[in-house]
Amino acid sequence: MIRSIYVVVHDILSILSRTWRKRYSFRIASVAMTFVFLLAILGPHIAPYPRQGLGLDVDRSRALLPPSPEHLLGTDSFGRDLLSRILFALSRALYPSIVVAFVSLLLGIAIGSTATLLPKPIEISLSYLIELLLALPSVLLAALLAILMGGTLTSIVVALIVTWFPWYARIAYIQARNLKELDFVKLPLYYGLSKGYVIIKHIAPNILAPMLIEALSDMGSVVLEISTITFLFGIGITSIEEPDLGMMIAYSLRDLARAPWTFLAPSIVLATIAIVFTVFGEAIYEEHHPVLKKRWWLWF
Amino acid sequence: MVLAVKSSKLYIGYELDEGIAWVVEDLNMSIESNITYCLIGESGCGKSTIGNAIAGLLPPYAYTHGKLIVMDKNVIDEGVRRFNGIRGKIVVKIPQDPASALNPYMTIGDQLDIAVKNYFRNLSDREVKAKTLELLSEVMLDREVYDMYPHQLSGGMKQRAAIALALAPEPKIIVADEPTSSLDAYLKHAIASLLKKLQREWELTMIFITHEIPIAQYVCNRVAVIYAGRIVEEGSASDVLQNPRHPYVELLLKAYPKRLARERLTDIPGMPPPPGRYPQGCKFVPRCPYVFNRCRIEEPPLIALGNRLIRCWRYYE
Repeated sequence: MIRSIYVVVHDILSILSRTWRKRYSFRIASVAMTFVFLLAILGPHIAPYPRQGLGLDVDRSRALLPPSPEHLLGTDSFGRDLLSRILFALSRALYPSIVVAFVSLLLGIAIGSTATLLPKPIEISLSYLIELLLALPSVLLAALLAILMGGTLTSIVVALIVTWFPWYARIAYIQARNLKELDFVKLPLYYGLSKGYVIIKHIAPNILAPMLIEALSDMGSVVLEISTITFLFGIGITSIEEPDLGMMIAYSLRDLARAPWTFLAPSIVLATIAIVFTVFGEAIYEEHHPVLKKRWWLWF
Repeated sequence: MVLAVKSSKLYIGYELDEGIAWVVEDLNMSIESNITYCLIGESGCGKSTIGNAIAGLLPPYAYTHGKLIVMDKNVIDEGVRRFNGIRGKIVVKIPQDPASALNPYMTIGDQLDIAVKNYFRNLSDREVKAKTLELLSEVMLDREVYDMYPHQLSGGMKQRAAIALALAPEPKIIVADEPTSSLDAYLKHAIASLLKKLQREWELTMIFITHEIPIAQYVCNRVAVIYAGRIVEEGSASDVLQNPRHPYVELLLKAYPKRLARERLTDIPGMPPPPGRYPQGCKFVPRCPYVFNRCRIEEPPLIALGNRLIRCWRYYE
């Protein structure tokens, strides 16, 4: 078991190192991504005004100050240091997205690879169910769950998992269908080994590596989606004191004309995260599928 | 003489839109135990289907008709197929493509251990490993292969590992479905002689499916030439391949390059008929040089001629 994990990790590392050697965009993106993760981990410790960053200190007299040596990115309408707010918000944006990406990855692999070995009618109805779930809009589901579960970050995470895992389930299902015809999957079933065993030992390890990369490249979209939901509803955060990128952008819109920095700083951070993750994933994806290398030519 | 495999009036077909296409028709075959029986024929003539039927690996959408008896057990009885207890224990199949038979994410040792454990359930882990190493030495692989992954092995080693995997349950009959087709000339001979050695030492009945005449000549005791899903000539290997009687076999041997031969290679004109659209009468009529009237109307039965069986009107007295 440990050895098979090692092989999967080795596979992923070899893909990463090959992409690193060949692509400049990937080098820039991975350096930037490391930086973002470092900031997210260290942010709460290096923030200049931690109490303001958490939203505990409110000083109306210092509201909407422009960027200065004292406040590098200025202050918002409650007089809180924007840099500290963003540093606190980073980890709150990244951790849920990691949870969403990997829980839905595991769910997707489990459902997709099990579906291939089930009896035909169940397999077909399961794949239709997955396609039905694909049609579900995540934002509306998050709103519904917020009403049912009482507006916590958990409700957003659950809503996103429910809307994200069908994508992975479908990819896993298609890949497992390809494997099903190969002898090392077919013969053990004919010779009487159990289906669960074949799934765990033969199917899942073979589809894990490409799907992990898929999940990595999707994390940027998950960050964006979480911020979209908090921007629209502000749910998941019980009060406006909590630092969150989506909500910071939403509240800065009122002061857009007077203090554009309150809007620009969080939006640029959010856009950077999304672009960095997408470029990172795209580079690996195109390197992993040689056919897609020149895909941009198709646009012209 | 004990018969390992016996079939009488066996029909195997696959479902198409228009109906059932019978790939194998009226197959009467009896294979003695402890010999190597060879099925020769062109691609798409039903060799692999016969092999799969004996190994019990027919897909669920296949249709069967007639009888097939493997080791005194009636595995195909008209439409019913009962392979439990036979498939994977008494009959195993050596796959055509060793790369698809091995899981790329498991070591060879792990895969063999699991195969051994599946058949000998009361062995301890140490005994299982000992047995696996014994299997590896049996197919002439080093002990280091135990900890290697399939991608670290060459094509010939992969095929040897696949053979070891097939031998794990200690079978009586092995169906080797073109085991040499994906290898180079040297390895072809090496794998063929390995299989020959295993057949002799383990007292196996081997059903060897191939389209390479020199290999068949080297490995086999008896040969059956298949055309359009039926046996056209059957006999001992040296007899049939040195001195063919059926026009198809004659032409097939002429189409294969021989060492130091001065005669020109010829091909057989036309194409083998696709399953489901076999012609009336003898199935070789469109390509046969000796065709006469009776061939077009009636299909010849399989008749004994000396110590061989042949399906041709020319030898019908």
